[in-house]
Amino acid sequence: MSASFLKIDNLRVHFPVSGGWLKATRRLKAVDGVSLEIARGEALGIVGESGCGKSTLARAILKLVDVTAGQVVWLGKPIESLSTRQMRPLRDSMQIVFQDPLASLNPRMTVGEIVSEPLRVHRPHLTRAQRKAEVGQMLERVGLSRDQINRYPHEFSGGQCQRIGIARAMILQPKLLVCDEPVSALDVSIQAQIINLLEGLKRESGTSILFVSHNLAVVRRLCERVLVLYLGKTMEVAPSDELFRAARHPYTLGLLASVPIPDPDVQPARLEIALSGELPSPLSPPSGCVFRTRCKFAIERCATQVPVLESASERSQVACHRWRELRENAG
Amino acid sequence: MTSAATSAPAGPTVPAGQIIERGLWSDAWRRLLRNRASMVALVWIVLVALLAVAGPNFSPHPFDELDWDHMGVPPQMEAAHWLGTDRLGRDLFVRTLYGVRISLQIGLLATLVSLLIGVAWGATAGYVGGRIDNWMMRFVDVLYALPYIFIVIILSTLFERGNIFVLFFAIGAVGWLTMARIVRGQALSLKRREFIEAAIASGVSTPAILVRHIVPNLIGPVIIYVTLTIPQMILFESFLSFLGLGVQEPLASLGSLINEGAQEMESAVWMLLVPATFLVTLLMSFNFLGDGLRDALDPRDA
Amino acid sequence: MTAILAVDALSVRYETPDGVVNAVNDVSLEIAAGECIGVVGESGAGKSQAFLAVMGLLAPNAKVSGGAKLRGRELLGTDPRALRELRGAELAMIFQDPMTSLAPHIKVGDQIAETLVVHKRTSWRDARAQALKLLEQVQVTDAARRLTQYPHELSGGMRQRVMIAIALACDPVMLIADEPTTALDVSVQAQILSLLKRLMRERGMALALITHDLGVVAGLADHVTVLYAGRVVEAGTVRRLLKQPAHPYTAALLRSMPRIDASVSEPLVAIRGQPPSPRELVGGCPFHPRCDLAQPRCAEERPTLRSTAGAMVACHFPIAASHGDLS
Repeated sequence: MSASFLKIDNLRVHFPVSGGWLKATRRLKAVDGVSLEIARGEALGIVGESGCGKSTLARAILKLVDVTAGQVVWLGKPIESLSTRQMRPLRDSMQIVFQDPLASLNPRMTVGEIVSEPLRVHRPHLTRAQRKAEVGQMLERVGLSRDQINRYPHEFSGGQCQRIGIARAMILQPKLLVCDEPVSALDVSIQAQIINLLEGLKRESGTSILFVSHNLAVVRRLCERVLVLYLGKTMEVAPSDELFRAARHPYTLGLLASVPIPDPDVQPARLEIALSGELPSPLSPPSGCVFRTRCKFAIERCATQVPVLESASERSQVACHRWRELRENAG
Repeated sequence: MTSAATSAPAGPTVPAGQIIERGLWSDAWRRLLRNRASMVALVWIVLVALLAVAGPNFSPHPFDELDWDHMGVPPQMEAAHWLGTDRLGRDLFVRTLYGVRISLQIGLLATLVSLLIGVAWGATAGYVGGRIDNWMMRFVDVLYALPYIFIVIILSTLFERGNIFVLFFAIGAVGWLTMARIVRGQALSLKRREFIEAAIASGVSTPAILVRHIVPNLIGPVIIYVTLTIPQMILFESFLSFLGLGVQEPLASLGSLINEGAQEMESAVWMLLVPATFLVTLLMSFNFLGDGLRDALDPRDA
Repeated sequence: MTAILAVDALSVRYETPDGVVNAVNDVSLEIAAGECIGVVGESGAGKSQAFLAVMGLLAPNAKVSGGAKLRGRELLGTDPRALRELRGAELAMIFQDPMTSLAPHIKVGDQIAETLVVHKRTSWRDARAQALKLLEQVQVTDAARRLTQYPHELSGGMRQRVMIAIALACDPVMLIADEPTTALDVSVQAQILSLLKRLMRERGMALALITHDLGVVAGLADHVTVLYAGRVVEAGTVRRLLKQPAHPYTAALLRSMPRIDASVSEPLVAIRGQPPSPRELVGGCPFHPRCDLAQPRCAEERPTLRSTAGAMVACHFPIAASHGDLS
């Protein structure tokens, strides 16, 4: 029996973009053939630059965005073709925390109303008093005080708003928590608070986490496994320590080299090995390997053949034609 | 040094002084209070409304009494005709205040009708989107194109002329169109906001999203538009009355009074000035108030 | 050392109907020619406000006191026309979001050329030729074509390069960069920082790099000033500050940053509470409510910036250097 909670197979999310009156409709391939698995209690990080499709991937899993092709299997049941109505009862087991803390809260609802809404939808048998009790408890779990239950979102700071968002997501004790850049909009000194909070919740409740972020250092902190996405395609998947210690894909290596380290003895030299160029437009991705336009090691084959995601070690996979020789050359 | 990574709940409770004790509405109210033009306008509207309700009680004359001794007299203290009388000797003070009553009633009721229909229509069309939105808004476009005057005329001939309910139904039926468009625009921009996505992710049904999330966040622009719609409705009614299609004798609205006054303009100018002044100042006041509300509510709402 | 920019006891206050907002409180710092100073702080720390004051770009209801001298010339309180001449010519500034800083309806090439036409009185033709050269200097590929494009046709990194080109057009002696890479991807960030470093060296230009990211500062800055609640809490060389921080805030900030080079088993120590808003007046040391080392004295008496063993710290109980002097 598979222990995987969530299994995604060759997921594609394409958006039609009209080219105007006479031109044909083009397709924006936001997610183009991604497969992954998350086990119970596991935290999987999805990293990549903006425009790589990670946010779209997160939303597609929750069916907030339509799936064009591929399978999404949740708790053994395929959900990719379910209608909105059919999805509703399933939503109590999968929740999301958004990037912009204040924007994800209805400005005209009190904190209590916001956090209790999932209860109203999925546990209608609860009385008002019971709901209030649960909300109060949840608020304290996330580090807020019970008597803030009647306040409005704009009265809170960014970090506190994010706690409210987490409270709302966790109140139904979901099996999967999708986090879409949950700390990117917060001050540095607050980020650590939220990271610790998520770590704590994951440990206590055994919730699986899908953590989408461009911040590799944060992902390293929270996630056991990491998937690197580029223009909607998987470049590399590996356990966290393997990826950060000895990445295989040139893109991953480039990204890791670009993350600034607050060490003045080390950082100045690292600036020189930056990744060149920028993400190409997802409307016209390069042929063959989509990363080849920025890759220092690209050869002819990279332009003609799409690399297949193959196993590199027991628990990791890479999509690169040359990963083996690059690894040998590196030492 | 405490390690925050071990115990739960992680993170601190917020010290009490850090939370600002301000509701959304009190903030807006305070901003409105600072706007002098709006405050004067609001005070005037309230005064006129009170006057319309209580004022006629101060005068010894009922609104349809014909004072044979004082027909067509200018404003005077004698016989308590403070604002004069019309050609038939009816006291203008009382009649004008009755006219204000009727105008305000029609204006407010018509606005209420257009509000209810417009918000429901626009919010649904904007949020649901797609083909339903298309059909709903094309329907609005078609109605927009119809000349309302003719509709009112037709309705007036079908029912009794000056039937109050026909009147405000006709006016309200026209007023909701613009309201629907405005509300739809707001709903369109609202539905892309993250808290709507969050509600969908929580499994909230579409009707519940409309009622709990969309409509409450429309209130800002809707209030502003309502205060600007009221004068439009009053003006529309006045226009109809001016044409003779509105309220009929012996009832009076500001429009019908202006109509009568216009005919006597050269010889008895007060018969025009009195209702006209009330109408103009009321319309201006509603507009100033609407402007002030827009400024007061805008900074908060994106 | 002749300072290019010498800021002395700069304070910025706003009087709003809701109360007094103290954005910047008594900030002093110096930047030498060709040097890069990192100005670090979180939101509400006043770092942007301080430099906007120097540039004369604050809202009209801002009350500025103190001094800011560019090459010995006082900037604050000077005639706005004279200041406009200086701005762009000797002192340039780039901002966080290039999309809102660039005019959306004017071609990119023209925006660069405009600076030259206004400040150096060159002809439009010469200015456009120079604009092409500038774009190449900031490593914009296909520069000739980019000149004719509009900002929305360019990516975020490109736009920031255009902003840099505009800033460099008149050969300023100093560039102020306000969170120039915060909105960019980490790979583009590295490119832009590398570019700034190169430009500094080639032109002997001073750089004030405003950021909240200590990693960014580690790559470029020679000196670092840390701001908290509008005040300088620590200042020193980048090595000493990052390796042996003396102020509890700096130390706590370093401890709370997740790092890719650190072991995951080390706990992430978060700073409790949140940064104070400029509207609040905290008695004593502004950081004491969140400080693990706070003593009763910290709540009563505000510490002044003092030199202690090679560091400038505003703390009653600075963290002592554990070994040797690293400055």
